[in-house]
Amino acid sequence: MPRNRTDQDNRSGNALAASAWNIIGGMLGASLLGYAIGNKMGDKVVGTLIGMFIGLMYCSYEVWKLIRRLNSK
Amino acid sequence: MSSPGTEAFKIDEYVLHHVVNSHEWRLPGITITLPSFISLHALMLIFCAVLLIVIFCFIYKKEQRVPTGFTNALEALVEYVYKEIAIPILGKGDALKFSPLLCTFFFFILGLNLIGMVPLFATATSNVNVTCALASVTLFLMTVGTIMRNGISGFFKALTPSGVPILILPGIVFLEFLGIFIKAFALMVRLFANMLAGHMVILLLLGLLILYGVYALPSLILAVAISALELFVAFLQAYIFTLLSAVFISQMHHPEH
Repeated sequence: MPRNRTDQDNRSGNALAASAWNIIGGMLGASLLGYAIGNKMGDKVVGTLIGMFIGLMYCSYEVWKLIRRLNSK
Repeated sequence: MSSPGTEAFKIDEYVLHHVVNSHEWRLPGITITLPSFISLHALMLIFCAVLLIVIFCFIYKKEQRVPTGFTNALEALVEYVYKEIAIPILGKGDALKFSPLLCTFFFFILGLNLIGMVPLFATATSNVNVTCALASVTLFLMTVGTIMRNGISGFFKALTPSGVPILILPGIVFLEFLGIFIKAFALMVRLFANMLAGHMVILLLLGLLILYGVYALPSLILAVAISALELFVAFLQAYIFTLLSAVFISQMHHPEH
């Protein structure tokens, strides 16, 4: 018998939906930002790489947050 | 406009006209040149805003005790935004405050997406500037809105998750701060990319007709199917943008949750 959705289920579902695009947005946004800053400072390759690294860090953090939220249920 | 098959009919221009911004509005037999201060997408934004005002001020019948027809459909959508998005995510107290904004997001984006589906009109939400402006409203509420509501200390409290070792806390606060902008960026890209991609797929499928003629007739059926899917995507994207805006605002305003 299916159980009713609780507020906790709703919040977890919403967090999951938000995280999926935040991970992509994190990688893309940080890389683009890194590229733009690197381009201004004269080395776009280094800028992009630093941006990608920060983006990866953010993605890992998002995944960690999501796992923590799902485990706390 | 010429019929398909003649040289003057350019299907790529016809489909791209839906997504590419310009200062020309091409109608059958006539091209309207817009003034320099207004582009085609800006015109669509104004058109949608006026349309929504007309619908909610004049067509919506508030005095009906039992709503029927179009009034009923509008009420169902407003109630859905209030009861299924605002209340579960923001709580009853904030739901009343933020419902007008969330409803505006939903109906405005839905209106723009649906207008884009109408032949000869353009999809303003496939313009990154439009989606950026919409996401900026959410970003404003996530930053300035949080500071006005919870104060500066409350804003930084929202960036500090509980149970994190003090040694890595500065790094986490930096990532959370970066996350505010990334969330707004993701909101912007999601809507823009989804609306642009749908039209691009239709363009590619119809392009096969130009290349291979009658042999590519199945691609016409596929293009019609994708158009039907686009109609669903128009509703879905309006819903997702509204839902995630509510989630992001709630995460900042109620960090304890």
